[in-house]
Amino acid sequence: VRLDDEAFWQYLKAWDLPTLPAGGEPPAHVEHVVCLRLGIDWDSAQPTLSLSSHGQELARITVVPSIGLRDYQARDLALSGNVPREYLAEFSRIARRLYESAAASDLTFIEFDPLLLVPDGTLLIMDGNITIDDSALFRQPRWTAQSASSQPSVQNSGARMTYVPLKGHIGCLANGAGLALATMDVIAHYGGAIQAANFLDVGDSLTASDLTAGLRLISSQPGVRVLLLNLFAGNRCRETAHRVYEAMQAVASPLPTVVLLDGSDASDGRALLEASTLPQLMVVSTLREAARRAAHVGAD
Amino acid sequence: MSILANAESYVIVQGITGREGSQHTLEMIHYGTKVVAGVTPGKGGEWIHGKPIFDSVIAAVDATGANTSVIFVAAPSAVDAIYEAVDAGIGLIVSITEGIPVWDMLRLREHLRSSRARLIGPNCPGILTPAQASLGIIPGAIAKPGNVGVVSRSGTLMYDVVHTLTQMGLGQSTCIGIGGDPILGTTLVDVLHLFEDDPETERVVLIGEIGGLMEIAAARFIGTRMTKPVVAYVAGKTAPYGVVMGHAGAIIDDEQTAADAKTQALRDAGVRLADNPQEIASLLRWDSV
Repeated sequence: VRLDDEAFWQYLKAWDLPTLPAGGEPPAHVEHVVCLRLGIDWDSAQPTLSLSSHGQELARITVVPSIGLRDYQARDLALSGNVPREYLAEFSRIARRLYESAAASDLTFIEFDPLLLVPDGTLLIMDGNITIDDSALFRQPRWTAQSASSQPSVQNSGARMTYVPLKGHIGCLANGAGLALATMDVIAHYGGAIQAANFLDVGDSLTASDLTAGLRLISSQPGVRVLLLNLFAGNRCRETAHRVYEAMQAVASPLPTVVLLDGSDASDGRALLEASTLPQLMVVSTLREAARRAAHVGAD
Repeated sequence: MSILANAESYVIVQGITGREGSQHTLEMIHYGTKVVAGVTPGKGGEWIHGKPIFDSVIAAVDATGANTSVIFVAAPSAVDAIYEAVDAGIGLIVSITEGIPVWDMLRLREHLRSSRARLIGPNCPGILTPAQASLGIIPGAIAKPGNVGVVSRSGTLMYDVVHTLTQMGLGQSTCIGIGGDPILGTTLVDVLHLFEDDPETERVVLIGEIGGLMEIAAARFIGTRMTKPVVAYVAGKTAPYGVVMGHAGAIIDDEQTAADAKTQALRDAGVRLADNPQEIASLLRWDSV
C-alpha cells in the first residue's frame, strides 16, 4: 500500500530526513534537482537505488541486504549522477538514511522527487512517494492507518480475495489467481462484444462463505448481465457443488449463472448441480463452452 | 525418474498441527508420501496421524534422517521455519505459506545462495511426482505417471491443465508450482534446467503469467540450452496495467512484464504457445516429437 501525503511527511520527520519547515519558503536558488529512488529488483532479489534527473536515469546500484548501503556506493551514485563534490557527504548521509529506513519499515518503494541541492550545501526533499509491503503491515502498525490502499481487497473468513472491477458484462469468479486470469483470457477470445466485468480470485479454500461473499460481490456490480464461476476443486467436486448451491441460494441473484466445476470427481459434482432446482444455473464442462454460453446469454 | 520429489523423499512437515498442515499432511500420507515426522515447537513428544512430533527440525532430522521439509507455518513465523530447515541441513524445502514479507525474502535469498538447500515457493502449491510423492497441496487424484514435466506460477490453473493432460493420456514426470510471489526460491529457469537433465522427462509444459521477467529468462534458456520441446501458456493477456491480480507477483509494470511480450519471447525461442489452457494438451501431441 502507498502512504498518503500526510504519512509521507511524518515518515520523513520520524527518520530525520531534511524537508522544508511547515510554511517555509522554497529556496530562491537551486544548484541541482534530482530524484533519488529505492526499489526492489525482483529478478536478482536485491534492493536497488537509482538517481535520475529530468526523468532520465543517470545511475543505479544494487545493495547486498546483509551488508547494507555503504558510503562508497552512495558516493558512486552521486558522482555518476553529476552531484557536485561539495554535496557528497550530505548526499551519502541521506541515501544511507533512506536505505536504512526502507529496510526497517518494510518499504518496497520510496522516492524523493524532487530532491533539491541548495547552494548552502544542504539537500531538501520537496515531495515523494512511499509504498509499504502489504505482507509486512502486521509489523508496521505505525503506518498502517495512513496508508492509501491502491485497490480494493475483500476480507472474508480469513481468506484474502482479490477483486478488480473491469468494464464488461460477465461477472467472473475463480478459485485462484491464474485460473481467474485464464478465465478473462478465454472470455476475451470467445466473448466478442460481451467481455469480463471483473477479476475475482476467492482463494483456493472454496468454503460456502467465501463463495457467497464472492457471488454477492460480482452480482451487485453495475453492468453485469451474467455470472461465470470457474472452479477447480481437486477431488472435492461433490462438496463444492453443495457449497455452490448454498451460496447461490443465499445470494439469490436472478442473473443467469454459468458454472464450470472441474476436478477428479467432476462428473459427480456436475450431476449434483444439474439436479438442483436453481433455474438460472447452467452447468458446462469446458472453459471455452463457459465463455461462449456466458457471452451468448449476456448478449440477449 | 522425476525431479526433486520421489520415493526417496523423507519428509517432515513444519506446522503439522495447524489446520492446513494437519489436513494436507493426511492427504500426503494417503498419497503414499514418506512423511516421517512433524515439527511444532512446544508439542514435541506428541503424535499426529501416526507420526512423531518434534520441537525442532534438527531433532526431527537426527531421529528420522529426513531430507525434505514442507512448511505450513503461518506467515509471521514462516521465514524463521525456513531458516531452521536450512540450518538443519534439509536439502529441499517447500514453503506453502503465503504472505512472507519482501525484505525477509531478500535476506533469505542471500542466505540460500551460500547454502546447499533448495527452496520451492513461498506461496506455492508444492511438488507432485505422480505415484511417488506429494509435497504440498497439489491434489494427487488429478495426475498420473508419465513423461511430461509441468512447471507453473499458479496453483489451480496448473491443476486444471494437469487434469486435462491426464484425461488425454499424457502422464507427468513431475508437476511443480513455483509460487505466485515476486521473489521465489526457485525460478522457471531453475526448473527447466532440472527437466532438461531428467531422463524421464520428454516434454515440458510451462504455465506463466503476467508480472516480473521470469518467462523472458525462461525463453532465453529454452532458446539457447534446451533440447526438449516446450509448450507454454501465459495467463493474463487481458489484465490491466498496474494492478496486482491475486498473486503478489502478478502485476504488469511495463510492456516487458505483460503477457504479450512474454508470449512473443517464448515463441521466438521455439516454444509452442497455447491461446488458452485447454489447448496445451493438444499442442503436446504433435507428431514431430
